[in-house]
Amino acid sequence: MIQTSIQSSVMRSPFRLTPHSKNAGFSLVEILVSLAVLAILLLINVQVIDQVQSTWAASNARVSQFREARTAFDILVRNLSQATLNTFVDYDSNYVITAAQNAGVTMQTPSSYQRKSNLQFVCGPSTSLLSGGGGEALLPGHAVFFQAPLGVSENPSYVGLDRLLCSRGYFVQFTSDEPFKPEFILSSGNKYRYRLMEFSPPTEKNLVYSSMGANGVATSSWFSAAAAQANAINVGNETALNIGVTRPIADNILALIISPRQDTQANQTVSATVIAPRYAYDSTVVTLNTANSPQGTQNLLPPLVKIVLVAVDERSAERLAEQNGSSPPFGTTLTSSFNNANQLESTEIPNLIKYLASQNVNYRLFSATVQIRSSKGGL
Amino acid sequence: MNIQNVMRRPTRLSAAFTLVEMITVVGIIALLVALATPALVDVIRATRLNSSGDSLSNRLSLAQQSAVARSNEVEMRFYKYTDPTNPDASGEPLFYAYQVVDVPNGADPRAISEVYYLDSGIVLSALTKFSPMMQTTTDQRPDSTGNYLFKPATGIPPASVRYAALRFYPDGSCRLLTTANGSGSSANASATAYTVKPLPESYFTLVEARTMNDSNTPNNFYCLQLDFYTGKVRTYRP
Repeated sequence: MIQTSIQSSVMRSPFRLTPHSKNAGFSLVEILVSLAVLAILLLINVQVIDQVQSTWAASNARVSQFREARTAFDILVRNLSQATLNTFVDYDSNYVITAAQNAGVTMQTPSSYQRKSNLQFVCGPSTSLLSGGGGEALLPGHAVFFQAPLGVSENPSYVGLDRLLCSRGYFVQFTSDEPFKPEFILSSGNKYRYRLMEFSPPTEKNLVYSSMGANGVATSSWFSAAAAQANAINVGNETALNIGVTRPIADNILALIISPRQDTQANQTVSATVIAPRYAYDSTVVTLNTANSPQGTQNLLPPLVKIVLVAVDERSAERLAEQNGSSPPFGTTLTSSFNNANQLESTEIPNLIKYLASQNVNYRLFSATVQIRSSKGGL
Repeated sequence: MNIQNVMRRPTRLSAAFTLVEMITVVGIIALLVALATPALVDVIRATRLNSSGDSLSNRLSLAQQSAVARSNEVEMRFYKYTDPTNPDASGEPLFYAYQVVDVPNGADPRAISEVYYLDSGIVLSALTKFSPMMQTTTDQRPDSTGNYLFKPATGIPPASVRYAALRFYPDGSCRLLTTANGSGSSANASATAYTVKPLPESYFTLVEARTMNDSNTPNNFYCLQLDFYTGKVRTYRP
């Protein structure tokens, strides 16, 4: 009886699907094979899905990240092009002072007419302009400070006065997001990033006038504390009346490069970077003066300003932050690689690109040459 | 004959699932579904919160751009009212909707967008801790023709609606309504009712309705921070 049952099962082909016997079923081998095939398919599937997912996340991060950088770059270009000095012509300052001091005593002859301004346009390496914001590593690249009729006021009754004069400034700072993020998420860990900071006091707090010396010339005290202020905005520290004036407008901006240029179309005898060969430009200082032009570039706006913004995406920044924590990942490299405006395009930017590629960072450069509308031409 | 044969074949076979087998299989499936549902519900809630937040932040940027493009003041209004049909609210007024409104000088405000309702189960937190920007609301008033801009669902009188307002200016900056206007307030008083808030206090948060009265930081939130000088939105998520 047992014998016959075994015989019958052996004789039956495994592929005959005549299910009139209770023993009909898949053999172990069949199931193993099918499982193996299934496992391979699943493995391939998982790999494909994983790849798609990471590509999607990466491109998404890149798009949204560079969107923020692009908006910030647009704001910077738009505002910088409105920079003004509001110059006027007056007797030299000696005359003004001595006349005031010796009022009614003697006649004084003014020695010359001069181009004058109470305002200032200044740019250069951030560390040379800003104090209290940390060293070179925390303030990479360049900073620019200027006055423009942007009309941002704090007092609500000034709404509608849309051409009020405001101070503006831009620089890159490596900061924590602690000072400006909402209080209830403070505990969630701080994000240390390179950020593009905007120095934008409301028009009531334009310190350019109080910074002026007796000769009516602005001094650096209206902007020099901008980077320190970024750290001073703090929860509870800032009130409606004592509003922080420096705020981040984009994260993950590694460097801002500002190069004032001469308009070479108008004057072909000079090189474009002659007005700021080392990137530094200060409208209150007499430079490049000649017998014909005794003031040089004093109280002149640069006709053109070349701006380069180096942005990285959030994924790269996250990775760098994981490795470096609260210390700036690029150290002083970003500052030291920009010091000769003549070689900006030929050497300095290609070197930076090489450096960023070697650090395996996903970056993008934004570059524009801004024409300053109220500039009366250069030299 | 043939047909009969075919028809009869299954009944002849003993191969079929028994009741016990079926019950076991159904039981296993039920168990798996029961295990997976809570996780799935969480995922759906999180997606809803994210999509509500994303669209709100996009519409804020859009409102700012329309103020610049129209060279006119544009306001985003967040409507707060009591919806007796909402089981989560227990009769409290909540922010259910928002709308972009053009506010020309000396003329009636005009809606320039439809009314956007938040997804169900998502609310704009009214707690000061999570939404310091949403603390001042003003009554919705009829315009010169007696119409209300925003009419909620039937059964809710439009006059009972209050709103918080965020006003964008043609230079790209924005201000928040911080003084609720009286009915006869002058143009000057209405202009000065809008003020700039300091950056660490200029945010509001979308949370899930079930955690809206909990003052502990919820597991899931979508916080929007607004820079009043640039009109730019920054978002925070856990």
